[in-house]
Amino acid sequence: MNETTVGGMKFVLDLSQPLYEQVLAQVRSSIAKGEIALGEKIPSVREMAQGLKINPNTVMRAYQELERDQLTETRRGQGTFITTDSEKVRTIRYRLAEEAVDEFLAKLGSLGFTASEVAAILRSKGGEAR
Amino acid sequence: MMKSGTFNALYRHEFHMEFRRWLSRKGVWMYVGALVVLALAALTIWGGRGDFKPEYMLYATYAFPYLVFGISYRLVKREWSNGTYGWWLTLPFSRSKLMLAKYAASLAQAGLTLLVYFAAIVLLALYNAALHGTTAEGVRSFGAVAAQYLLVVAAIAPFMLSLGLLAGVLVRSRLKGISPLVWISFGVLGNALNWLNIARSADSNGDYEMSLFSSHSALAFWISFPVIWLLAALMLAGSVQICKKFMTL
Amino acid sequence: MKSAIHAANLTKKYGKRMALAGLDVDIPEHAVTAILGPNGAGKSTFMRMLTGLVSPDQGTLSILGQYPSWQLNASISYLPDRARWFESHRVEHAVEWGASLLPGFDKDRAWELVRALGLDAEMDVRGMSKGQEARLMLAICLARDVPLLVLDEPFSGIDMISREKIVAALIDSFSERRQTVLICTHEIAETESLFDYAVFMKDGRNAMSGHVEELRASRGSVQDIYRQLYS
Repeated sequence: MNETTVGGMKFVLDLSQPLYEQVLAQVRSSIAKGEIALGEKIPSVREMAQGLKINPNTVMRAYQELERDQLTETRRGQGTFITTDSEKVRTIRYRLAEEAVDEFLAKLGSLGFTASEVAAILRSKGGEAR
Repeated sequence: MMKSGTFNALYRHEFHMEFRRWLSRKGVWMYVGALVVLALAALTIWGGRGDFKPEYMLYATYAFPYLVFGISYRLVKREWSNGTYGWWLTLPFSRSKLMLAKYAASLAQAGLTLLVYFAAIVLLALYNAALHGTTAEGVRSFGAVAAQYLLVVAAIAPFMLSLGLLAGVLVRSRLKGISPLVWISFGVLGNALNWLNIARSADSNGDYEMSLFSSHSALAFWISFPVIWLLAALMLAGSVQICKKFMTL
Repeated sequence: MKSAIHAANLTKKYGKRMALAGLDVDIPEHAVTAILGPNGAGKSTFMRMLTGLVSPDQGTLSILGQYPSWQLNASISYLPDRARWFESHRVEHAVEWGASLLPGFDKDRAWELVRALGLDAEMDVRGMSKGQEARLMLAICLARDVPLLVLDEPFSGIDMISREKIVAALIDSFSERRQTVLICTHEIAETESLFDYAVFMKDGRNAMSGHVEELRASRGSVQDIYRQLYS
């Protein structure tokens, strides 16, 4: 589970979880973080597979999903590029944020906290938000 | 891909492997050179003596049937001792073709070896003749006897080659139990030249001692030709069957 | 999932030992499948059956829709278990051998692979390390454009650098071609990220098999599953 950087994006892969999901999530995260700029070219399936030392089919699945999300576009003969549409990136940032919040709420819910208790915690932590 | 074209490739691979292996050995040329020098020296010193006949150089051929067996046996054995049998047996060729290629290659190697040997002793005999003087009759009779020996070895060779291939696959098969039979044949039939010699000397007296044939044994020998070759073909077919169905892998 | 290889009730006995005891397995087409298991599980015996080196005592085996035969070997690129290369060759002779005898052999690709794997034409097989020889043999196998690639222990007993080079060559090959690949290996940690499908063999049978990503979701890494099954 070592960290690898491929095409400017950081990856940490856990072999006990499906790899395709992790690759997808981590590319989305890189885009959202701006580790990779709008319109920038990302590594080809083969380059990504080589960099991560995983099966190209796995990378291909992730890339296809990214294309469906319209986060990337493939230009024939040139490669795969991040979208130039900043709106798409904004959308993904907010989606990742929502996913994180959903996870947080689910966790606190399983610990037995009520909605108002959660709100109170958030308020007190609000000033410490980095 | 033409069928004949790729059989050719298979044959070439088998043939060149041994040759390349042999030629790449460091000492080969020095060894050969030393032999030549020794032979020339020996002839120079002793060649002129009255009781020396160049035909004596032919005695080495008594071992040739065994050698020929060794050539084909080794070609099969190597696949196992070198760890390459997996490649050999999974090539997209029938077992017949694979065995035939080994047969052809070992035949060619044996033929080449015989030719080189006989050419060498003819040259040595001529050297001897030039150095110590001999009659034209002497040279002719040498040539005739040498031809006899060459003929006998060449006639036996196909059989010994088949036997070698058979032995090679047999020892790696479930039929290992019959190998003693093969080794016995090897011992008995490899001694062919000796048998001929015995037959000849039993049959006549006062004949030229180096000749392998008397009038009777010569006839018997010619008759046995087709028998020998038929047996060789049968053994080859047998090897193919063993290779197909009885290998322990 | 279309099967490239279908085996039903494959049985093989050597004397008293059952190498295969009714193996049932379907190997998916165009995917990288790992055959895993401890020594004696029957992995090599199964692989040898694919190229006709060994015949089953019982059961059916179909490969690319046909029975195993020497004719079918024209479509299978096989790296034998514990194989060595021909001693008297140099790398250039090995490429020649492949080009003249192996169907689907692409000479240019072979030279690319030879280079990528850190070998060159003049090298003598006799002087090679085990790792170099393994890389040469893999190059010859990968240079063939055939539907099925069968690698029996390609990583066995070789140094880390050679293993890494081989993994990289395999990834390249998978990127470029749609091929059904069958790999048998003990080096799971380094190679599990390459597998699409896995078959875990035990005592000559299929103990478990499945798509690796699905297995990861339900049971953990291939290494974890291996430990669960065999310890």
